[in-house]
Amino acid sequence: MRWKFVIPFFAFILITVAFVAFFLDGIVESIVEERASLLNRAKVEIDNLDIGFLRPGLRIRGLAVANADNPWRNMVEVGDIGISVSVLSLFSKRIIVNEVVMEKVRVNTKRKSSGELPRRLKKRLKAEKKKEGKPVQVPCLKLPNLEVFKKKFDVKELVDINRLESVKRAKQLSEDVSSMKSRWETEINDLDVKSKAEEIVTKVQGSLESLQKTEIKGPADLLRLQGNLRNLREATDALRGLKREIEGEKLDFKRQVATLEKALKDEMKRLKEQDLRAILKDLGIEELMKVRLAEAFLCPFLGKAMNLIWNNAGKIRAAMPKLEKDEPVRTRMRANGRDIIFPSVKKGPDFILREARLSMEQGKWSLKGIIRGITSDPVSYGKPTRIDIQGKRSKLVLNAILDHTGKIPIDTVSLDLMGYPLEGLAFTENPLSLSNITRGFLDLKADLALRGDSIDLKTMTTVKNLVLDFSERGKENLMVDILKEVMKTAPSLSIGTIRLALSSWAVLGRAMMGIPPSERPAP
Amino acid sequence: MIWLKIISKIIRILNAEATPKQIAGGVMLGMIIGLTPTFSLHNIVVVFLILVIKVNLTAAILSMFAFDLIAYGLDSLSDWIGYGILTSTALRPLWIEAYNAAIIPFTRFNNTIVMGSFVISLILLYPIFRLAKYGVERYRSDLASTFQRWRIVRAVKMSRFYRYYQTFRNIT
Repeated sequence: MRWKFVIPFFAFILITVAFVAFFLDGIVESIVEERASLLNRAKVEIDNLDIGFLRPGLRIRGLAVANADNPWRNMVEVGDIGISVSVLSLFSKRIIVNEVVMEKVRVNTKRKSSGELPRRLKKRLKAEKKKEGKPVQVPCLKLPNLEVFKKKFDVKELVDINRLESVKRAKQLSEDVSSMKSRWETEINDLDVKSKAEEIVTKVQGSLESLQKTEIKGPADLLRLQGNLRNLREATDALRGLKREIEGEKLDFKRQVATLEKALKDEMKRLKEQDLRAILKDLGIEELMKVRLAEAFLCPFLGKAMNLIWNNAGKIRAAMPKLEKDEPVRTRMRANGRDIIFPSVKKGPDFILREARLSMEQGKWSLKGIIRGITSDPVSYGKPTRIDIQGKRSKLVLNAILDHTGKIPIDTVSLDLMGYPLEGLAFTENPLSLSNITRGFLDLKADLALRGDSIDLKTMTTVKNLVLDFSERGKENLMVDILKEVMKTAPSLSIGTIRLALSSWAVLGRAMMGIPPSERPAP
Repeated sequence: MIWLKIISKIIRILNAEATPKQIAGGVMLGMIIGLTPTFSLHNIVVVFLILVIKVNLTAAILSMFAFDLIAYGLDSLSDWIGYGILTSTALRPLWIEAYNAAIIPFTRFNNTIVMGSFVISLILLYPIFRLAKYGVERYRSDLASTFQRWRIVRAVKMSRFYRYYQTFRNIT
């Protein structure tokens, strides 16, 4: 052994390791700050970052994420973040995080300095910026002005048959059907099935008779026999051809009828709705069909919630791992040999986060929550992800079970919010913005169940002790008068139950974007 | 110039070992690096062994370059051997286990040429050692004096290049 070389070599390695251990925290801190700032489009600052080697883990103190839209405020501030990783997992391909703790989380706090990105990072951001898809916006619906009912309308004029598009189209379709019927009759007649069939039958009978009479005495008889057999074959072919022709016509007719049927169903439905809208427009209450009181009343609140669900639930679910099949053995050619790919044998998920604890304070509000069992492979982990969050001052209970252990992912989320103060909440996005809330408390109970691609959402919203301020707008609106009267006598107002049960995200998207009245679920 | 002195001392330590066995050892270990693709994880271990065990460094470096050239000619043979070993049914459980282990995949053992050339170098390990040892002994006992008398050797010794080499050798 070359001790004169080995000893200085190991000494050098030791010094290098010590140097890295001493300065690594600072290097990682600056890298994290820079990358996170670029992602956030505003400063992300860390007071102190510690990487643990003996007990593998990470500790971040004083994380401040500036708000890109308002650089003088922090979007979120976290006092302490601790992550502890399983030592054994570091020697394998797996990452097992035993615990993540986030304490003293506060949102929307003031900053002492601007959180704008420094010029250097701004330049880099510009270079890296990519176009992002537009987020889905749930439209706010409008309440009608019921003053219109004070006017008098001529009903005959409103529902005049000559004005209705659906009636016009129905007439046209009826003509189409009759012309199609006559065309098909002509085509069938042109085929002349009966005479053709009779002709073939006569030919067959003749051939059969001739066959019976034939006596084979010499080579000439054999030739005649051959001729008769050929005739029979030809007759069979002709019959088959006729059958094919009839079947083709039948199929063609069926197709035409199906197309017409579909056109009738879809088009008539659309035209009827169009006519209805036209009549309502004449009446001046076009918006009435789109309106659901609950949605209109709580539009800003529900709209934001739905936006949040729509924009994030899909993303989260898409990011959740899917069932994987074992990779087959395959070979790949390379310039310097071939890589033989062997199947991956999973002895468990590649990533497990056993427990994450969160505590948050915001003014009088406080939240505490635990998330258990986040994993990259729920099937082999075998347990669902559980989220339990509880809040004080406006009691909040949020429980979620994200079960992706089976073939069909089942996610259930239940939210129970009680006594959320509504003071100062302005309905600026809908016609009820003629009012502001002076006082009131909101109770919200929501149950969301996602099974595969189907969504089942139930919400019950109750507003208690509601006092509205109608002082500024809509003085001459009948709707306002009705509401005022209701509010005088109602100690609490339950906005009913909104139930969404849809079979796919696409349907939900269409329902939200297009809002065709008839396709929306009943309130 | 302190760095130069440190480097020269290290090289002197590493080059001090010049017995036939040590030279043969250097040739043997250099062969592994030369025959197998250079940037493989197992070669780090081999380099470490060259530096730690008392083998001749110059011999190892020369052997590495020489076998690197030979390896190009052996590529198709390495590929054939490697493919045979990696697709063998009997060894398949072992490869699957290794493929799913923590560090082993970084050795690129599942590459046919890496596997094939590594197996070839393992097979050649002892014969090369014996051959190199015999060669050095034979050279020292019989051929050295004859070799020194060759005109070409004398011409090289008189060249500027050799003078530089000697200066370098004296420093180390």
